[in-house]
Amino acid sequence: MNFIVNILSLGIPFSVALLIASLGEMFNQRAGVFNLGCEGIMAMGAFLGMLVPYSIGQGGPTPGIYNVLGLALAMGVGALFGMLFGFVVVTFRAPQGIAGIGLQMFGVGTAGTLFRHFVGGTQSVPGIGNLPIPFLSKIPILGPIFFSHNILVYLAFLFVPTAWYILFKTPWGLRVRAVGTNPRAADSIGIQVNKVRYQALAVGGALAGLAGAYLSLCQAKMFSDEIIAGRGFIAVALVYFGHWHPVKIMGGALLFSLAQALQLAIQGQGINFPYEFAVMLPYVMVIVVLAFSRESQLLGPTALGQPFNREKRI
Amino acid sequence: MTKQFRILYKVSIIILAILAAMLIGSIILMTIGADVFKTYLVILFEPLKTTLQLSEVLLRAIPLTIIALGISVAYRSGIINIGAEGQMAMGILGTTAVALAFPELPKPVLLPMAVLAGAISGGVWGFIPGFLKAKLQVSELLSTVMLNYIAAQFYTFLLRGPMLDPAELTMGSGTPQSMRLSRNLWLDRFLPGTRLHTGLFFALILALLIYFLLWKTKYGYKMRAAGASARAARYGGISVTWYLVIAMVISGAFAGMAGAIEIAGVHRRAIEGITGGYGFSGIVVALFGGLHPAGIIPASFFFGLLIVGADMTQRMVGVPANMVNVLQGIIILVIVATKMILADPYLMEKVWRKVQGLGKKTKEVTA
Amino acid sequence: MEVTHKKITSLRMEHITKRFPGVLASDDITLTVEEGEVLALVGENGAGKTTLMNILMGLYQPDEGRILINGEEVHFKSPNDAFDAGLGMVHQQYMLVPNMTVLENIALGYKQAWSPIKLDLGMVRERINEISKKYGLFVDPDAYIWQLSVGEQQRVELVKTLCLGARFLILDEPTSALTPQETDELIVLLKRMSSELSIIFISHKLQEVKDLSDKIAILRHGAMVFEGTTKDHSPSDIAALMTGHEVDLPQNDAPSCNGTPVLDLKNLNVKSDRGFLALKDLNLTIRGGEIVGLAGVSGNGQRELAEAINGLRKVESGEILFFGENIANKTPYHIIEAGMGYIPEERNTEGIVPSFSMKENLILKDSGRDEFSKHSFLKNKAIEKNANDLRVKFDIRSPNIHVAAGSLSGGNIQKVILAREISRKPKFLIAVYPIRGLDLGAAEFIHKQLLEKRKEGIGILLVSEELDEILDLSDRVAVIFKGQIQKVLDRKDANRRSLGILMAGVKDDQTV
Repeated sequence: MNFIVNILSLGIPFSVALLIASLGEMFNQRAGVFNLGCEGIMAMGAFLGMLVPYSIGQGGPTPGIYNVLGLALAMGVGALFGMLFGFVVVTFRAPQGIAGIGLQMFGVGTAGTLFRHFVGGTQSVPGIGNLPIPFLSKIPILGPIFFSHNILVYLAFLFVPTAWYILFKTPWGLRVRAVGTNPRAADSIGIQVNKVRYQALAVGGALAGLAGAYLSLCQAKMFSDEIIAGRGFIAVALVYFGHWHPVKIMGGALLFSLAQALQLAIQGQGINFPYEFAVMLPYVMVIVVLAFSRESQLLGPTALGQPFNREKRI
Repeated sequence: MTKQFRILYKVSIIILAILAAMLIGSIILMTIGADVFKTYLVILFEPLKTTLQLSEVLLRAIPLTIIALGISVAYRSGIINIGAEGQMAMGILGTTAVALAFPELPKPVLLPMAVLAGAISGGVWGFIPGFLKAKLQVSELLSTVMLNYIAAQFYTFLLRGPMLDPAELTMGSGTPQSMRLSRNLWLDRFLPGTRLHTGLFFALILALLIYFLLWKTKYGYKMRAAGASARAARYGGISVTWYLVIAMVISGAFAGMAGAIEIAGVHRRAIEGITGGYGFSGIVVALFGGLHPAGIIPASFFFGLLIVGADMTQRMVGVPANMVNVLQGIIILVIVATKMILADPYLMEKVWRKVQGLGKKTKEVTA
Repeated sequence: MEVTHKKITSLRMEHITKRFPGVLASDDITLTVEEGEVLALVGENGAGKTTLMNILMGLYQPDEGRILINGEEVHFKSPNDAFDAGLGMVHQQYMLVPNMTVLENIALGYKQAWSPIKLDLGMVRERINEISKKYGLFVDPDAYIWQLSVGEQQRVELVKTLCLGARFLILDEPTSALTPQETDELIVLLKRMSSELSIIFISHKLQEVKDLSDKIAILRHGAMVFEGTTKDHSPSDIAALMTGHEVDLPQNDAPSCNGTPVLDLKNLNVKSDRGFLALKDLNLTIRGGEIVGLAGVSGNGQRELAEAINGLRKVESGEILFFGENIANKTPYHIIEAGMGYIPEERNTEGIVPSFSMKENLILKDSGRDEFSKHSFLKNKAIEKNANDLRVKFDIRSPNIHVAAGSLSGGNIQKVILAREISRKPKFLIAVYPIRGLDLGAAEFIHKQLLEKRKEGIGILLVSEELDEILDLSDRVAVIFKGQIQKVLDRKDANRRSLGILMAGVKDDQTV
């Protein structure tokens, strides 16, 4: 019993970075843009998130406001990167897959360059501590699993219904879905396709930035070049796996992080198998999951990856 | 539209693209308070100043060329291989395994055998995403990236365990590396005082080979057709999935060979960090070289220059070597955008009419 | 909230000019529509009708010229501006989002129902009810678009346009995807609506132009060649003006021959992309030396049939006997080698590799043959000679044989495909919409070639929506409806009316 509680209470915070980044990528893809540069934006977010508390607090205890500033900076720059990507793939209509790789290299490189200049070496930050919810966190079993985390964990899971509501119940969500499925139809009815795509990219970028900052402020409490470790790419895969639906994406994020928690727990039990194979697990899972999840033609954004050009004659 | 205008238009766009790339790079440089002009100067010219440094540039151009050749075969066949990093790592392992197993074999046997083992290991690692894409429609962008991480872990596992140098175990510091490989594997260093090795010629031969494969044989024709329009190729009786897999295998094999050449020529043992981003730089080189061997050779020289130059900026102007990743990222973004602009006849016509309009107006004013 | 627009008493487009790369799509066009009028905009495919209307809707910006409403100049920067002025357009390819409901599709343009945090679908629903009642146009607001038939989707488009407050309707080939019977219903509906609205409708079907319009404007190669009242002109006058010369395509007048069956389809079942059966137990036999025309409204399984025969789509069950061999689910390569020739529907994306040169495209199916390669190496001289020969023989108008095939005009692309398919000496030929969108010269050339092949004893399956094309060329006509052959008629028993009824799904002539 204790073992299971451990796995769950460990796995849930693990899922947060994936969940936030995937929800952001979901908005991108619903609008028809495939942003493989998520990894790069997350790296920037991770660096910027810890930069503010680090440079002001210099490692000492910092008031929460600096953490909030760090998160805000990560989201702001994330949105900016999303729009930069939009400039390349929406305005200039460049092929999205390869451009995404460019953005990833740019983001990871920039984060590394700035980190070496402003921080230098491995430096930890106090980060954002846990915030057990009064009373609820005292409930046996459920308390440690659900109510003893840091604030971003709660927020991330609130994002799920919020994202669902935005996507399916607001005019903006309607526009996003329209431009990602039939941009010509959206255009003919007076919706500015490229504008909506930029907006979605900004939202997606901000969320990717936040996801990165979560890693540096809440999970690792430091920055390193390998901090993202492919989570940006896994987040993109989760969007396919979750068929562009927030709830299914959450399921995917939990599946991944629980598997990871399970693996850590098993190692903790002293069962011996090579550490490297344990680390491989999520990457292998992505491939397996992609190989066996069938895309549903009727539900997905059918214009995914296709730039919009009104004056292109067919 | 006049011919002069067309040329002028294209040249101006390319110049604008270069300026845009340098401008974005400058923003990052200014953020860290570096001397922008001096940094670019160091990156672009410092490595050319001595023979030793120049040889280092060429040394890096060797794996870049081989990897980029492979990537362009895949790209031309309609599949983007981001997994060269992992395929190279697997290639190194294959080569190392053979060299460790048969150290006594004479050089003319061991060297080709080990390089072949590298090619096969890389090819297998390329086959997986190719097969997954062909049979199960798994996006190669994601699967190759994942395979990079998997290969990296597998590499560390072998170097820390089965392939670990016994000397490290008994008296060394436990550095994860293999023992020094048999001399019979070593490629000759032909320029005294430098590490420049005969792998350079091997890379050039491979470039020639790819040129003939893609443009002079029916297989290349079919691969390019499959990549340019999968639907039309299928209609024309070409097995698109088959050529997709073949292209990925070739691509992986080339990355694997790059790894083999790298340890046979430079490191002479498997150590951590050999791949060091070559797989990703290879993508940039392939794109920058126009996915053509004749472009890839100079492009890999240029990026070899950037890599060596970026190493020097750390010492000379205090700019971290990561700057080279920033530049590579920018270059990809700028190339793909510029390609689209150049391919848009409508935009060109629009600009042409604007220019004409301006001409008319100035004429009216002067009249 | 009620949508109110000022009445449009007159609409005028003046001196509209629009250029696309290499094409003058609209050439100094001026036209006027008054209140309550129905204007038919007529012309061949590619004459520039749709471009002109897209300019009117603010989708394209004209390079020159202006638009006047009630005498005042207006500038439409986007479709929004056109909606606000009371214009609405039903495009030829329906502009609906398939994975959203009817309600959501209409809400997409119905800005009154938008607040930043909530979409008021109830308001949209009311509006739809109101419009449905007013015009007798009923739609199910909660159905997903992908569940609807083509006719239903068109009704959704009309309701959408009216919900958004259109007082002036533009319809782009509204009947092109409808059966003759659905067409009649639409004409009745539009007549009723014309008492309240002004309408411009684009068409190249002369009968409906006569039935519906007050005025007629004819475009040819982007320029207006005629404007006048409909009742003063006979359909043949209009046809002559449309095409520039009398329509005179070659006809199949040779006696029908009774060759042996070469292609025999038996109980063929094939699924569509969406996963339901597009062909249901389809049976059809074609003999050597005859042209069988496959008539039908597009979307009734024609595409799936052509793809299945050519190995490009999986056959669920049934047999395709080709000279006695069952080629169902064989690879495209195998089928090509067996002697099948195929002129596909999508000539730009399937029939050629657009970025490849013309000479490369001409060996698309033959790069491995001894003729063009030796020990796997391509024989460039032979490839170029082949291209030069075919260029002359098939009158392909291109600067040289090295240009990218995708840069050629539609007619020349089709000639490249035809040249390749015919020069391969096929034993059978499938031609899908072979002259769609081509000018008359190219169409005539292609028809002549098909008839010549027929004379040589080759069996041909001709898929077309144009009844004239079918009636001109076929020895026998098979009508396809919902994935089944309704009936096979001899050429002498087929006429426009009988085919129209069969295409609508009515099997027995007597019931109508």
